[in-house]
Amino acid sequence: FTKRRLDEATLEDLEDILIQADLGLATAARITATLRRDRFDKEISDTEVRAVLAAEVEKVLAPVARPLVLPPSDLPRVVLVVGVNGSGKTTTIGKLAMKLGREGRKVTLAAGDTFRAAAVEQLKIWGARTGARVIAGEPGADAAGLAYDALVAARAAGSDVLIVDTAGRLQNRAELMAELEKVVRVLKKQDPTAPHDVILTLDATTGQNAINQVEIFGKVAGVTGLVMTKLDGTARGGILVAIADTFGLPVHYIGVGEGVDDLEPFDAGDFARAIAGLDRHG
Amino acid sequence: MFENLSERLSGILDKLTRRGALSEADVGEAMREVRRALIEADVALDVVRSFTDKVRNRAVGHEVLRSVTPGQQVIKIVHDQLVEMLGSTARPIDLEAPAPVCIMMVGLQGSGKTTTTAKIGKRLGDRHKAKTLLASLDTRRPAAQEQLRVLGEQNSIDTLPIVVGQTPTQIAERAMTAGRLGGYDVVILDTAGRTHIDEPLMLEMAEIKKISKPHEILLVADALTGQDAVNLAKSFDQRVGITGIVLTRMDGDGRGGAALSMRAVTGKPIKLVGTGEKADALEDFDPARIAGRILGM
Ligand SMILES: Nc1nc2c(ncn2[C@@H]2O[C@H](COP(=O)(O)OP(=O)(O)OP(=O)(O)O)[C@@H](O)[C@H]2O)c(=O)[nH]1
Ligand SMILES: Nc1nc2c(ncn2[C@@H]2O[C@H](COP(=O)(O)OP(=O)(O)OP(=O)(O)O)[C@@H](O)[C@H]2O)c(=O)[nH]1
Ligand SMILES: [K+]
Ligand SMILES: [Mg+2]
Ligand SMILES: [Mg+2]
Repeated sequence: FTKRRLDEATLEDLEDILIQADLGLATAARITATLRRDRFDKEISDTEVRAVLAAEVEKVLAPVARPLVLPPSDLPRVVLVVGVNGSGKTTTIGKLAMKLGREGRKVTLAAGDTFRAAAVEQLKIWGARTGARVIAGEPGADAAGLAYDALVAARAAGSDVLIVDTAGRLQNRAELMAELEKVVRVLKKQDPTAPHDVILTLDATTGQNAINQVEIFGKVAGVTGLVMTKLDGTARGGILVAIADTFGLPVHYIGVGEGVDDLEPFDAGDFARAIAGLDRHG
Repeated sequence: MFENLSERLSGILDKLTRRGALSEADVGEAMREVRRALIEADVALDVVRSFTDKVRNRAVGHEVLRSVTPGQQVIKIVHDQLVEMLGSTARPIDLEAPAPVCIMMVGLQGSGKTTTTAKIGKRLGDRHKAKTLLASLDTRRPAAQEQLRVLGEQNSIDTLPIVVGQTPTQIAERAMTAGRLGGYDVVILDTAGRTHIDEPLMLEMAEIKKISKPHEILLVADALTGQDAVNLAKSFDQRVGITGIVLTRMDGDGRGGAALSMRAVTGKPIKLVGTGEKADALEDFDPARIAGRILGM
């Protein structure tokens, strides 16, 4: 195989690979700068170059690869799922419900998207698929009120986990973000420690805007962890590297399809290799 | 977060005090800033390259006018080039075909197809008095057909009755027949979301096209899309031959560089933009506005 020098031209190519995976300029430049410092002008094969690149990316991601841990408690653990429109909230809830159900937990789902057409029906189908109970209200009902009622119902039913679906909203829509803040506030009235987990779903095809999403949803709803969806496409989701760098939020899972089992733990090494253009298990 | 491009270029170029034409070196430094701005706006890297090449050619040798600062002059060249590449003239949905005119919506999962289907149906009814039938071919996503039915009901647009157990191609056939028999002007087919590397679903999409012979095939894509925009636009275009693009979630605070990427790799016009969740949140594409956004101005 051909060896090449890890010289300035090669480093620029590597930076391009990172930019094309959506890491953004600053993060891409920072990672290539590390390579420049440590390895500059060494003879190295193309696969080795990519492996070195993957290792550098993995360093950033490894600390955030943390699965969702739901400690046992007497009261239902409340998981609130938030994110922009179409990012995969409802589907991820369905997949999570399946996983938790298999672990032997009693799961209740709250159909907190009272806005979008047939959002309630969508969640009900996921409930039926996974054996989770679904608490739903009338279309157009107050989302915060529904979340409150669902927590009361989950308690009464002795559920281990309540997962609350919310309507999709863009983080720059102040009035919709205020609504979300209210959902959090109202849940606290029932249980001051709730919501225990606030999961933000990020669509892997999203570019630099994902950073704003994490920042604003974090401020408004107190995001505690991330799930990146739609990694079964060709998007690499590299913005997650910039996000890990900036916010250090745990990444719990990745979505790799529309089926109930298409939820995988986040593996920093696999993710990094895919970004570097290597086989996920290469 | 960043200084906008206009400020950055002024910083670089306005210190040029000598009169005359912009040199290769002046422009070179400015193009590095343009490149940065476009990448930060999610424009695909290859598209950034061809863009900066075009701007460079226009700018080098450009006479620096006494009355205007060099930074502003280059900004104008950048802006004009962006508008040109985005497609200077608006291209509305084309209904010039024998009724029922079929419009087929395609795109990745969650991009906004179903919502946009209803929005277009409403617009055609309101503005063109077109009698429109909406049909959901999405037998995969839970409650997808119900979603379109509700949207139709909310906006007084007819939807094809749901028949459980039919395949997407069977529904397409039924929709076109209903369109003909029902005297509809337009039939809009909402399809299931699909990743462009899902071969069976891409084949199904081509099959639907064969059956319904759409006059418009609109790729519905998220304005927040990053570098993947080129892959998805290229693939959908190669597989079905899209006639236009609808850019959704333009009400977000994304910079919308995907618009330039998709337009550049397909050559297909951006016809409409979605600016909200409600059925009337649909606007004509305005290249100058998007150009300003991409440049952060
Ligand atoms: N390919 C793929 N599709 C996914 C994945 N996760 C979700 N989807 C699809 O993306 C689309 C949107 O998913 P939803 O779960 O409805 O997203 P949402 O965030 O609840 O959407 P809203 O409630 O409308 O904001 C659906 O077609 C899902 O099947 C994934 O990991 N891979
Ligand atoms: N803010 C905003 N939301 C939008 C826009 N267009 C669609 N949406 C929302 O995006 C989400 C997904 O829209 P859908 O119309 O269900 O998307 P889809 O492409 O049909 O999704 P699948 O059928 O699952 O592939 C919903 O929450 C819509 O309300 C838009 O222009 N702006
Ligand atoms: K999306
Ligand atoms: Mg949802
Ligand atoms: Mg749909």
